[in-house]
Amino acid sequence: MSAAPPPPWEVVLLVSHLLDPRTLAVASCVCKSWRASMSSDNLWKPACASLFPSLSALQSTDPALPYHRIYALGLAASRCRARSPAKPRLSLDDLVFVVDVRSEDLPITTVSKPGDEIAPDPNGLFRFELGADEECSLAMEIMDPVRITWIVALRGWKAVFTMMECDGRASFIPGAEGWFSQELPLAGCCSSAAASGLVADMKLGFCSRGVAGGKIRVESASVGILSMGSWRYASMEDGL
Amino acid sequence: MSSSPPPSSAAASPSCPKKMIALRSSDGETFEIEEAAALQSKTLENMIDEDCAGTPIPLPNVTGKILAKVVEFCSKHAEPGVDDESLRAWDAEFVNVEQATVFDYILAANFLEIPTLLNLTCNVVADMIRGKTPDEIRKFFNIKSIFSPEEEEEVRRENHWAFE
Repeated sequence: MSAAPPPPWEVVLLVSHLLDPRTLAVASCVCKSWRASMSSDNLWKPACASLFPSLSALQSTDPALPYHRIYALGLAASRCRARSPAKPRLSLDDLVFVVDVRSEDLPITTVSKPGDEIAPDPNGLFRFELGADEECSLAMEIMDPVRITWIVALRGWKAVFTMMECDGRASFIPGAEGWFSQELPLAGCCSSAAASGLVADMKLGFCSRGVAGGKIRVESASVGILSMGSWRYASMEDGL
Repeated sequence: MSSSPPPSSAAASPSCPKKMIALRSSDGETFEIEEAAALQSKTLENMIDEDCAGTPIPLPNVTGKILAKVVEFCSKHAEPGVDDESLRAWDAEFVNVEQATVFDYILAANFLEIPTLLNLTCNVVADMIRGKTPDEIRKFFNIKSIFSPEEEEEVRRENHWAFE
């Protein structure tokens, strides 16, 4: 028994008018002639006009852009907007915050606090006071070069992320604080050309209590994530 | 279909039998169809208005086999007093034929401009396409994909959203 002949192109053309966009797109993948029939602008124009009316402007900027592609673009864009950001998969309890201050390779102080020991910010912001143990902090000369590092680690040392690592100088005004900040990379695998707009921020408090010879010690450290656009601290959820 | 020859005079009085139109298929077969039924075809409607002699209307695009069925369809749909449900059931039976025959119906309905038949038959084929993957469509209609690997990838990429 001979196999049935495939549908004539006129039939394909006539039937295409009855198909919805999704079926048209699937059918475009069948073969060359179907692709040509199913991609025809007059099939896609009504769907684009009703679902994505403003995108029709794209066609006037680039007349070569076919309507079936405008439709795909519109669909992708609306999906993107509709998707709410995924809930953070971490909680503070999973993390350990480590702040390390060293000067010319000499460790000045290291503060390490597991997430569950850190008091959350009362305003729900991603910002924490870590405190430092004065006693354990070595003294530094004022204006000594310092290198500070803020690392966030997953419990059980499964993974480590360096939030910031930068050089600066110890503040020379006792009781005042030194600010350090460094831009954070974007989450995920986005291109490095775009800025994340987020900054890791650290504040070290120095004091000169109980230290002879005009030296200072680190008395406190607080860390957070700032949004560059608004210079506000990011919320806990966003930070996580 | 009545076997009496079509009347030679144009006018038909109310008591006369209904006016019959003669059609000739591409392979020389002749069929008769009531005027009311023939008017379902826009093409025939135009031809009837112009032609008064009653010579068979040649339809080079339609074979006898298909024309017979088209005449049957139009006659059924011109019948008075048929309820929607039984007509729908009749239609379903009408298109319960081989793929190739449905395609022929589509082409005939398109040529003769019979909206009801065209809609019915195109929807049958549309239903065959909807919900199938490209591969299933190819198998069903016995279509060979002549994409090059690059083309295949390109078209898949363009339409990936339909597969999600």
